[in-house]
Order: sequence, then C-alpha cells, then structure tokens
Amino acid sequence: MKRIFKFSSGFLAVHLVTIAILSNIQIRDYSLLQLITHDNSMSGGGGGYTQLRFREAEHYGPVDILFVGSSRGIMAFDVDEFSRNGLRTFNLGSTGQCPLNSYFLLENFVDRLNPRLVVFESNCLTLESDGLESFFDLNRNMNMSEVLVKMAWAVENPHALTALASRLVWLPVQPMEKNKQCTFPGIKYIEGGFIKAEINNKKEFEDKARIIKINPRQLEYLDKSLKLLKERNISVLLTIVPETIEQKNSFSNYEEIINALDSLSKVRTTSFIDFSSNQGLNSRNHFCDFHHLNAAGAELFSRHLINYIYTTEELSTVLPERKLLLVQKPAYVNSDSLILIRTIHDPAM
Amino acid sequence: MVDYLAALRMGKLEHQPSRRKWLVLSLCANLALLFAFKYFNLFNEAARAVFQSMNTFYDVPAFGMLLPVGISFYTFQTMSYTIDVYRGKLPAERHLGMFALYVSFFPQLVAGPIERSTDLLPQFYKVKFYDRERVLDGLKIMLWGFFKKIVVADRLAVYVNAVYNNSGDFTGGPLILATYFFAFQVYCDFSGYSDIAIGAARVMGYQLTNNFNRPFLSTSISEFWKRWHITLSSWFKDYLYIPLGGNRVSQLRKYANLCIVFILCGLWHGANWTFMIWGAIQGIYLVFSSLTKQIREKLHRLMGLTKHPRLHQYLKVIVTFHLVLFSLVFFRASSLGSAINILGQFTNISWPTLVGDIAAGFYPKSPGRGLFDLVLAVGAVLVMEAVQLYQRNRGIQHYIDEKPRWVRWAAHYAIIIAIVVLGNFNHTEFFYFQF
Repeated sequence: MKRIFKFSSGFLAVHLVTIAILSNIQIRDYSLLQLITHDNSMSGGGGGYTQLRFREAEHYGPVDILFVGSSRGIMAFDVDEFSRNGLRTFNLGSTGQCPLNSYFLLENFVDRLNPRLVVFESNCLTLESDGLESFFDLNRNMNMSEVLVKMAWAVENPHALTALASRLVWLPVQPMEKNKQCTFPGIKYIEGGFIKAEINNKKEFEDKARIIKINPRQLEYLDKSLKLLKERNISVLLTIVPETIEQKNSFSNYEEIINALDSLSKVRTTSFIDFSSNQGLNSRNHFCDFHHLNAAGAELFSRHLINYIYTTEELSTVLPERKLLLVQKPAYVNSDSLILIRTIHDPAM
Repeated sequence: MVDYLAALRMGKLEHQPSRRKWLVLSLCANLALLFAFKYFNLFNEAARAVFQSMNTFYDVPAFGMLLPVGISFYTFQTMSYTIDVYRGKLPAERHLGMFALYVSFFPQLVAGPIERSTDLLPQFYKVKFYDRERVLDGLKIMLWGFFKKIVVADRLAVYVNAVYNNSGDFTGGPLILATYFFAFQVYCDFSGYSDIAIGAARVMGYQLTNNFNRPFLSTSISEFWKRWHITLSSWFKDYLYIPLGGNRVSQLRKYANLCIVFILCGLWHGANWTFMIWGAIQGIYLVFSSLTKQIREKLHRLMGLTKHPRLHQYLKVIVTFHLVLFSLVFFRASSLGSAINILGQFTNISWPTLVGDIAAGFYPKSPGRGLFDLVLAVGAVLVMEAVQLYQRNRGIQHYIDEKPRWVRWAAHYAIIIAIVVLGNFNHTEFFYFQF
C-alpha cells in the first residue's frame, strides 16, 4: 500500500511538472500542450465569446428561456428578438457543446438562472462527439469550479484531465480575471449570450457524405438532462436549429438521428421539433458558413421559434403572455423571408 | 462443444484411422461456422455476379448476422486442439471448464496470440502464487504495448484513415507516406495488443507465445513470416503447409502449396478480395525468391555486396520492407480498384507543394498544425524503432532493470506520461479485432 501511494504521488508530481512545462511553451497562439492534445480553445474566449458569456452567467438573474447547446445554438437564438417579444433569455452554449457538457452546466446554472423553459439544442455532430471540444473551451474560459472537474471525469478522455491539470497548475499565476476576451471583426457578443455574425465565410462545401455514429453516452446525458429539468418542473423544448442543405445532405443517416431524438423525447414526454429545414432560410443569405446562421438567419429563425413556442400549448403556458411588437423590416430580409414574418405576425394566430 | 466431445471420443480410440471421422466432424463444424459468419456473403456476392452475367435467376439472401469478435482466432485455436488430439500429441481435455477456459482465455481471446493447446492447457493446472517480480514484468510489457497502440498506432491511424478513406483527394506524396505509416500502424496496433495480452497473462502467471520479433528488420520475406504474427504463420505451417507435403514434394507442388497457404492466410484476415490478393502476393514473393535465389546470389557477388556484409544486410532489410509495404496497399485499401488507383497515384507527386500536401492529411484546413502532428507521428515511430533496434542485441527491459532506481522510475514515468499526454484517445479499435 505504501509503495502504491509513493508511486502514485511521485507520478502525480512528475506529471504536473511536465504539464506545467508543456503548457508554458508557447507556439504562436497555442501552448505546446494544446497542440499535442488538439485543444483549439483560446484563453481569450475564442470566437464563441465563452469567457464573456460565462462571466455574465454568474450574475444573470432569472430568465424566461434558457438555451443550451453548441455554437449552432449560440448563433441561432437572437436574444434581441426574444426581448422584443417580452422574453428574457440567456444562452449557456459553448463550442461543440454536446448533451454531456450541457448536463453539467445545467446542474450548475439552472437554479441560479431559474428558467421557465429550456431550449435544448442538439445536432448530428454533437451527438457523435465525446464532449472534449466543449470541455476544452469551458476549461479555459469558465471560472474554476466543481463542474469542470466533474465534466473532465465524465468526458472519459485523459486529455480532458490533462487540460484540467494544466489549468490548475497555472491558476495561481494566471487567474481568469487577468484574461481579456478577444474580439473578432464581424462577430459581436450580445448581452444574454448570443453571437451575432455579420460575416460570410462560405467558400466551398468540403464535408464528404458520411454516416453519423451516435455516441450512446450523449443520449444517456440528454436523458439525464431532461430528467434533471423535469424534477425541477422546468419545461423543455428539444430542437435542431436550421442547417444548410449542403450540411444536412452530408449526413447519410439523418433520419436515424431524428428518430433517436424523437424516441427519447417521447419517453420523457418532452417537446421535440426539427427546424433543420423549410424555415424559409437558404445557405446563401442566412448562413455565415455552412454550419452557422448569420445575424439575418438568426433573427428570422428566432421569430419562427417564438411563434412555434406560443402556438404550442405545453410550452406557451409556462411563459409570460406574448407582447407582439411591430418590427421594421431589416434591410437584409428577402421576399421568401417576408412570407415567414407575415405568418408569424398574423393576428389570427 | 463439438470440439470438446469430438476430442473426448478421439481420446478413447487408439488408432488414428478410427479417430479420423471425429476429426473431420470437428473441422467441418469449425469451418462451417467460420464460413457462415465470415465468408458466406463474399462468396454469395460472387455467385450472384456470376449468375447475373449468365442471366440466370439467383436469389440467395445475404447472411445478416454480426461477426463474432475474434472468431478467426479461437476457431484456429480449437482446430489446433482437435488436430493435436487426433495426432496423439496431447490427451483429450476431460474438464469442460478447463477446455472452455482454453478457448476463451480473455487476454488472447479477441486477437491472439493463437495459443497451442499443448502450451496453454497444462498451465491452467499449475497452482499460481503471487510473485512481485512477475507481476511487475507483466505490467511493464503491458505498458510498452499501450505505448505502441495509443501513442504510435492510433496517432498514425488518423493520417492513414484520412488519406486512404479519401484516396482520390490526395497526390502521390501523402499516399506514399500513408502507406509507410500504415506499415507501422498495423505493426504497433497488433504487436501492441499482443504485448498487452502477453503482459496481462504474465500478471496472472501464464506464459503466452511471443507473436512478433522485430519483423521490419527481416532480410527476406520468408524471414519476415517467421517474425510477423508468428503464431498464425506457425499454425499454417504445422497444420496446412506440412500436411500438404511441405518441402518434401516436387518444386512445382511446393510452389503451389506456398501459394495456397498464403492465399488462405490472406482470406483468414478478412472476407475481401484485397486480403486474398495480399496473401497471393506473399506467396508469389516466396516462389520468386526461391526461383531466383542462385541468380540473386551471383548478382550480389558481381556487385561486390558479399564483401560488405553489413551493407548487404541493410539493403536486404530495405528491399524486404518495401516489398511488404507494396503488399500492404492491398491489405489496407477498401477495394481492389482503390488499391490499383492508389498504386497508380504513387508517381503523381507534386514536388513544389509536397510538404503542404503531406500535412493536409492531418489537418486539411491548417497545414501548420498538420505539420506539427506529422512531426509527432514520425517522432513516435522513431522512438519505437530505436527501441526495436536496441532490442536486436539485448532486451531493453533488462537494460533498464540493471540501471539505478531513479533511471528505472524515470523511464517508466516517461512512458506513462507519453501515453497520457501524447496518446490518441479517440476510441480507435484494434485493427486486428476485425479478423
């Protein structure tokens, strides 16, 4: 026993020193450790503005709607549009956030943010993931807490524990308060966790058609999240946000993914809606790349979502009464989209 | 159960001819199961194609059952058991539990080594005691196996899969590099698994057969097969090649036997024509090597290579390695057409953009990061090969064990930390699990 303890403590000490050295050798924007472990996260919060979002989350009061999910969700739910409808919202998303990450974030923030409704964004890629990408992002940009330790363990990838150890080793020297959120031209952070993208990064769609292999642990954590929210009497809407036709066609077994989410939502008696297509949005005008909505797309989609929520009895009853405000037509809205707006603002609805 | 009962029956019969029907029953049962699970669909598709070409109706449905993991390994293991009982090499195992343990001994169940009943069964009857040195030895062997699998094989697999799965998108440079990487990937993957199996068995007090002996340092193809997947090649030698006549038949028959054995060896690896071609290439190499032996020796003398034995040795190693490499294109490619296209692309190298093209295999969108991963992958291979080269003279484990305590600890820590930090943990399965 004594030998095992000596070996373990010796190994831990050497391991931490190695990690400290590797994380302090900087090559351009990343440390050597990050390059080895494929940790793409930036200490300044990155393009997902994770640092600003989670600083804000610490002090944000009760909300009507809480969003969780990946960067697709961060860029899809336009908080301004929701507030124009009298709804206070917050987006608790991060890069590549999958149900596993969302579960631990909900566990930590749901009581503080006290939402009436949680919109749980999920998609093919996050259901396939192990949760490491989001963990890397959160680990560098969230305040150190028990959530990160639990998440690192749950990800079941030694690189998560290595990244956590790196953070702990340098925490006394580089506390989070010293970091500044970096900014990116054309990508704005809007209070409430929304990322408004007014850029166009579309070149050529390069993803090959492939079969998505669902990671069963993601379904397990999605189920746990739904259970956690149900225990607190919080309504949930499980959803897939709009996708470009190119991206959607690249998933050979898209129906299988939808069926998996649909079955799970039925078991947990949760609303599920797939918004991935037919929202009057198109790749050219409403997406900033082949994966994420741009500002125009987010605004139109958010109107559509609000309309859906208020026309779905089990969701609308938990929210305050809708305040319809007349919205001026933004310059970038095309004629296809106008049909959608008119439908939404039809007083008969 | 068929093997267990057939062996029991054979054990009760004194003369080999009377045992034969039980052996035939056992072999038929094993091969029928293997055929049904692994090869039926391949031959069914081939038959369908033949009938269609003759405009004849053919409607035999595909066999939709999942392939049981490790079926090729334990089928061969049980077949060797019944053949050994038939030959009178060992008595039939009466204890059903011991026999079941022999068939399903967990360290080597899914990917070998294919253990002979004469070696493994008697070990189950020996009482085991805790021996600290033995346990530590086993753990060290496992550690090295994990290094080979997680740090080398899985890191190389990222590149190999990216390039081979999209071979049409890459030029000759990345394809050639991916083929080199694949050689080391498949070696580290399989020998890494063997090390883990051998180490795990050692911890529990069992001795398994060594499956690899630095195969890429072989000086000929026949030597390569004495060093690569040793338990499979010796199985084929003892239970197929020698019964077919071995070296005691005419030259022509011997060559035919070699080709048959290696085509079946290829087929053992998987139900795909690519594996059969890979096996056939090995057979052709051996036949060609035998046919040209005298000419080559004469040529070597003329070139003066015999005066420089070390240089001669190095050249033989390089040539053998590249012959193996060529055949591995068929082993890895998804289809025959793909293998031929890849070989055709080998000469299509764009020199001005070579480094960028190669790095794109790792990170198409960021050649800089791709280059970094490439350096790590090559570094991992070099470390592994340096250890292999050192082991040519003596075991590195003994070398480390003789050093002061701090050196020993540092070496073991370094391997653990390399696994934790440099390892690829994207749940890549062992390559040989598919067989």
